[in-house]
Amino acid sequence: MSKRQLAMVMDLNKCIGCQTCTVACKTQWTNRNGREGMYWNNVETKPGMGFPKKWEEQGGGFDANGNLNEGVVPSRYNDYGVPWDYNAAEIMKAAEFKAQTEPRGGPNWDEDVGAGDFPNSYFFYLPRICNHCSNPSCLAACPREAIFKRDQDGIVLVDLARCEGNRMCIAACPYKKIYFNPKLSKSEKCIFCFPRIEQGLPPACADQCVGRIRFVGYLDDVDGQVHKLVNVHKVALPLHPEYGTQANVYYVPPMSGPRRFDKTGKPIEGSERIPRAYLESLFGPAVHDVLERMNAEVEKRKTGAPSELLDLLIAYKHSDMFRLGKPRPGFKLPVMK
Amino acid sequence: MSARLIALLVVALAPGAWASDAFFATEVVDAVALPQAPSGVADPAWARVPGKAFTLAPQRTLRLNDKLANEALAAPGVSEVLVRAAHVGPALVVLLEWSDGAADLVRDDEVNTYADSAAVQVPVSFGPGLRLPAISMGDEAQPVRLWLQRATKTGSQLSALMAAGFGSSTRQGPATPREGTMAWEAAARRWRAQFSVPLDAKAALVPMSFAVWDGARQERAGNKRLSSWRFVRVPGRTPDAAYVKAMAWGFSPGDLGDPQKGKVLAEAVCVSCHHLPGRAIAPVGLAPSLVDIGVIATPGYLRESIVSPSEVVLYGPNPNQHYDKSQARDPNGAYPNNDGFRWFTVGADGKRTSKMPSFAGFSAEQLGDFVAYLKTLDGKGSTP
Ligand code: SF4
Ligand code: SF4
Repeated sequence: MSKRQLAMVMDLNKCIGCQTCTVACKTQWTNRNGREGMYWNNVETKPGMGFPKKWEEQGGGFDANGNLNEGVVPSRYNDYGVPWDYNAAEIMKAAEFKAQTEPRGGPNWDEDVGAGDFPNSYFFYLPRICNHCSNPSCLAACPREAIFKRDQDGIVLVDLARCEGNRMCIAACPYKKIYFNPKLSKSEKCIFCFPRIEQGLPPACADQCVGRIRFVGYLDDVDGQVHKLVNVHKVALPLHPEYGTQANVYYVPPMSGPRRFDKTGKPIEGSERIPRAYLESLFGPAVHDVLERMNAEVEKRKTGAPSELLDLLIAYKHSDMFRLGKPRPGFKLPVMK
Repeated sequence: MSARLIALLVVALAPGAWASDAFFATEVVDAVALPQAPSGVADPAWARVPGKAFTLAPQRTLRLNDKLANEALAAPGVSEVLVRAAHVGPALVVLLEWSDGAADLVRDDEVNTYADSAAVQVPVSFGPGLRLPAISMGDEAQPVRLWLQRATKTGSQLSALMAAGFGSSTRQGPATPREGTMAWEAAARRWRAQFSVPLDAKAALVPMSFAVWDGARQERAGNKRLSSWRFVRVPGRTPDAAYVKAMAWGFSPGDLGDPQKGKVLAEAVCVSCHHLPGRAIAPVGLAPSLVDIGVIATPGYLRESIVSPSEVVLYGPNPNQHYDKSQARDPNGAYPNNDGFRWFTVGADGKRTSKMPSFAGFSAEQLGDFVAYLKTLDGKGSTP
């Protein structure tokens, strides 16, 4: 659909769930004008319901034959959640400490809950932005064709002059990464920080990522890390490939970390804490091969042998993670007032 | 008017008038001249203006992708709108009245609710020699003007739009909607909305169609209920006889044939692409569904689309709704669109041709049977 495609690779082995990306995005784009309830970037705990609640059960995307699926538009009160306050003034008068409105959801509603029974409980963080899909179902659903994909980089944008707030796109996005702005009555979404991209800068979420988990570049840039991780080493996989939108955010799946413990508290040799079946449900059957090759690479590196893949993933220099061309001469970052 | 003049008029109009009696009885609202525009839906002047009820059918010619809205389509969605019209100087003021279970308003605190709304549609140009625009918001040769009101806490947001086909509506005038006149009558459980449509000095028979949206049924955009083209007759003006004749085809005895014979024909030739009640063989989206076509299309339009399908080429849904997995993916992983689901082909000159073959070979009798059957598709059938 587009000439080139920008993509992001997120290494889930390095995400610490600090939400710096979420806040970077929110202060840059969504803390005003009816966007307050949107999280163009969110970080959720997996296994978990995520944001909006149970987004994986709301339909959308394409079926196995390439036909658009039906989907549901989530509710702000029940699924996205609204912020609440506590009765701070009353508790000074010995009132019971409680929320002023009934809390029903939020961007980190089930953070760190995870799954599994102690001592074999497990979770990992899954940061999510719009996938700037190659076959975007949001774009396909709009009866007004108000959503377009930029030719030069494949960024998916809403033409707000054409958008009439009908929300077919929200029903259609299986990742629920396009949101309704109830003040403007328009749909809005992650713009992959295109004004920054045009200046040669990575998106704010990637630039500020504390864990250095995010690589940004063009899929066809053969010298870029994104290309190497996705197409050469093939260790980065799209989330829910079965949704059929050809997502362009790729994830290096989480290696299992500590072993499982047996009844006596001894680690079970060769066991994995995060069930493979769960990872397969997120990243498809390719996840097995990826994890096996990554495990082998770690074993190899332990012997002192060099590993281009692990060097890439370690990302010694943050600036090496982004390949977006040179900024315009004379460009200075605007100063926030 | 003198008795002699009336007698003359009757003589001049008699043949046309007799033939089109049924048309005027069911398809035409007679506007009443009023000295000034009613101040709103509650103006007592409206009590002196008789209304006419028109059937509305849910838009099911093409299926959108909201699951809950589609589920709502399974319940009977056929309803009525009562239309009154007043002629006031250079405008037709139209009052719509329709029942609804509850008032659903524009909200700024929730993101999956939709407001009850209503719209009137008028062709940009109409009159002798001109065909009506496609009912689905006009077409490229025959664009439409629309006025839309969405219910708010204080009344409604009124927008003026123009459109030349499904999905093409474009706002006219101020970017922020003006205050409209829409009022909920809680006891009667009904909405009333008043619209003002500019009228030129000559128009005597103004084509108009109507749509309402019920927020509780998740209705918005193309998920709505609509009427076929109807007409408002301006008092004191005489409609062109040839225009009346053209618009009235299909409403007089003898125009249409035997619906049973038409059904046999339709089930033989239409169902490989279109859905008919109880006959949904073609993949969803391959062609407009005909399950409600009798409510939303005029007999003249049905005849024309059978004889010369490329006269009005419907643009259809977003072409990206279907992609072709038998084709190679591009370097970014995208599959090309499945053009099998487009309703037309595009020539080297950019001209669109409908994929529907012409059935110009049908006899006049067969056409009459065919249209008679399609007119029986009254929107009451369930989604196939
Ligand atoms: S993730 Fe959703 S919003 Fe983003 S391009 Fe894909 S379908 Fe559209
Ligand atoms: S800033 Fe980086 S490490 Fe922190 S939550 Fe976001 S993606 Fe994870």
